[in-house]
Amino acid sequence: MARRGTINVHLEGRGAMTLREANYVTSGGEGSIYRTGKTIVKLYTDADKMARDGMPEKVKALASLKHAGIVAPQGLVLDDSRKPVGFYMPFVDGEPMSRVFVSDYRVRTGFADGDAVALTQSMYEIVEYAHSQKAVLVDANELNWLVGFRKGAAATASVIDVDSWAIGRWGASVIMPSIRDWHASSFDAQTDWFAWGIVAFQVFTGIHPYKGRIEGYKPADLVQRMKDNASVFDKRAKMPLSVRDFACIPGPLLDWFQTTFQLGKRGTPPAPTAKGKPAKAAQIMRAVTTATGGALVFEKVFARGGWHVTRVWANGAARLTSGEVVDLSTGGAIAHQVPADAEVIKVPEGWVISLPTQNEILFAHIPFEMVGGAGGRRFADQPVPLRRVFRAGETLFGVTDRELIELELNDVGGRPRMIMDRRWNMLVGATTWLDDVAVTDALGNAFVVLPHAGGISQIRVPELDGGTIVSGKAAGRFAAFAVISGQGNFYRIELTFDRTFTTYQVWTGPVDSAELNMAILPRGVAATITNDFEITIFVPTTGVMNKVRDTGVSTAMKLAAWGERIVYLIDGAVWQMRMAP
Amino acid sequence: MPRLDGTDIETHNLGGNFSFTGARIAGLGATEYTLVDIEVDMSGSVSPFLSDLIAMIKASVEACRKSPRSENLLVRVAAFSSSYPGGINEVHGFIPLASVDQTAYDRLSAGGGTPLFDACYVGVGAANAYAKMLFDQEFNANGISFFITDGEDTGGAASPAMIKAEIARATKEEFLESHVSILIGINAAACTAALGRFQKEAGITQYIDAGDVTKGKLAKLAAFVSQSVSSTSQALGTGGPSQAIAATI
Repeated sequence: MARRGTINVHLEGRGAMTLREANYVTSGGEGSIYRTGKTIVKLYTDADKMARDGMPEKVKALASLKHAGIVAPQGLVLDDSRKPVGFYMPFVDGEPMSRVFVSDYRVRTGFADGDAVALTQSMYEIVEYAHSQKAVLVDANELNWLVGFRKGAAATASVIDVDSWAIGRWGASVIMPSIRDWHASSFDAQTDWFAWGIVAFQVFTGIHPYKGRIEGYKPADLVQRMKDNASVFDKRAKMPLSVRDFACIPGPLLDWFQTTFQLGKRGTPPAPTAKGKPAKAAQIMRAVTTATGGALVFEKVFARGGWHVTRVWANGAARLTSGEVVDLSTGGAIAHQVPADAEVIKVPEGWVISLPTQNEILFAHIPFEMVGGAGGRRFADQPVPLRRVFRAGETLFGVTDRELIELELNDVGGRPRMIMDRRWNMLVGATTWLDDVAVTDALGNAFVVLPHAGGISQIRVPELDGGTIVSGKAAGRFAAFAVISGQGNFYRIELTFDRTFTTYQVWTGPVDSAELNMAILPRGVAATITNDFEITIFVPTTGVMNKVRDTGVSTAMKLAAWGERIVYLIDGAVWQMRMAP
Repeated sequence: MPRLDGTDIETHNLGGNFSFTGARIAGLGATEYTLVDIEVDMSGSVSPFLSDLIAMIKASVEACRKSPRSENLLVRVAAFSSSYPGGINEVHGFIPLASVDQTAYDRLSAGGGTPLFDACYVGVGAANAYAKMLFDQEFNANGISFFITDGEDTGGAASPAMIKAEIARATKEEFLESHVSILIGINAAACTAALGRFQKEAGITQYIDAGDVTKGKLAKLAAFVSQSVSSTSQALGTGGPSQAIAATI
């Protein structure tokens, strides 16, 4: 509490100063803080204790620290009898560090991932400097760091509460539990780096590395989790949706965070500005409990900085906006400069990609051993001129003027060729080619063209007559279509065929747009999102349906299948969604 | 950042005729939150100092913006009076501090009786229910509730025992890491004993008699509210204040 009236003090090296009630800022356990212009004065409540603790000597030692980011005492404050009663230091303006942890603040101010690198680098340099001066920060928690941030300039850090530092004969006195290295028996540079890591990790991701949920720990078990190395990198860890992607952390530092927080290793971190890929990409696991009592788990599978994923094939290939096609399981490049209307299948020897060009359709074979390299595609000869390529599952079909021809790769003797297998007559000009399925309009009569292991079935479906089919997907015995009626209304038709592909059951329902936001898994389970906060998971052949309500679900998620996995595209990244037991 | 155009606010029922609102959890930007609930008496007896009381609420909320953890606060303000349908008028539900529109407090008016028990019950119940939703989405949360009144309860649906059960549930079920509830009497000298009794019966953490209404005392009350909020939030984020280091660790 501010003393009543004025206080006359003498600032060593500066001269006399009068502190008034208007200068009072706050009080803490040790004393009171006053501000006059660009100077902060700390007056100890118990000047005798200040003397007993040797603070006058410590202030002199700390005053030798000369770094723009260290708000160090500059000199003693003396009373009328020239007895030390406190010290003074420069005033530094800035935001509390904890604010940049929060995405709302970052959005409001334009604080971006690059600013997080600059800020943590600034903190890094401060810690490095302190250590070079044989000082240990000990309690550099987020409340003792300030952020200087102005859009267009590099974010900078300042550290306060410097009088609590350990220097010379003065040891550590206090520390906040959340930054303490509970494995250490003393406080030194290593414990400082651990504390720095805790704060820096939050700057990048928004979450303390020992928070989120791990089964068996209660929310308040922070210290126990720190002792157990049960961090956010633990495979069991679940985090709220507000956690930022760990990919925003520079690779070498991400590796250090993982080994420090999860494996318990200690050491000096790499500088945040150090570039490089992480040894192993960290996964973020997020889970939310659903209305049905289970939990939806969202896991990031793949993202490539600067390029968005535009399409995922069920075989695990994904195309980026750069034209690169990658293998999702390894991240390795399968091919480059692949057009958007290409098709990708997986064959025993590698990958086959159809590459439509202006004049012809090329086929490239990329053996598995070439994946991840700079190139290595080998063009395969094609048997006949093709109008287009149609893909169903892992089979490519060539479409001629009147036939559908099953194509197969033959890569023997170093000369890859696409050879013709079975062929079917088709009304090619009257056929709409979709994902894994096609629909032929034969003089107003709709036929679904459905490839399967036994060949191709062309099934008459009157329910599709008269409508314009804008999208469709199929797998196994199930096919779904988005259709525009003659009146311009969108609707969805789902067909479940019998084992012989001769009869079917039909379901018609609403759909908001031409897009069919659905994934169909080979085992016969399908998932669709038509409304925010709800995903419908169903088994078409049995009619079993599970509507899962969850605030984490949105129509912005574009569903796809990757093998037996439901994945979705959002913000250019690929995520997996699954139900936890 | 939440858009508070109605699409980012959800209404939740507490049972009976009670409900509350809160920001849509999917739109929240932090990973942990302190839920701040302020229930303020708008019965007829506060009329003489209504403007000062509103100024105090504004000052309390405004001062919370200075907290280092201001981005981690979700604030709900509700007025209680028997003149409101159901006794409670929620000015705004649990929303980020940056989204609070302080002019909404100016629309409060005094009149009617004092459904204090209902206000306490809904305040704690709302914090519990919202904390459960946060917990389910892996967020951490703690809470602090203020009940500001100038008189005793004059009737409603809730009882001190119901409030006590709700307060006990707040931490027992561990959706909230901690929950502090503070009953504040202003201009309540005549019923200090009754309010003290109610505090004990309802299991409210603390009763503070703020004395007679003066601008200075209300300013101090606002400072108390914001400091309590700030320290509650810091405890959530850091596991508590810096602690003295023992000789051996």
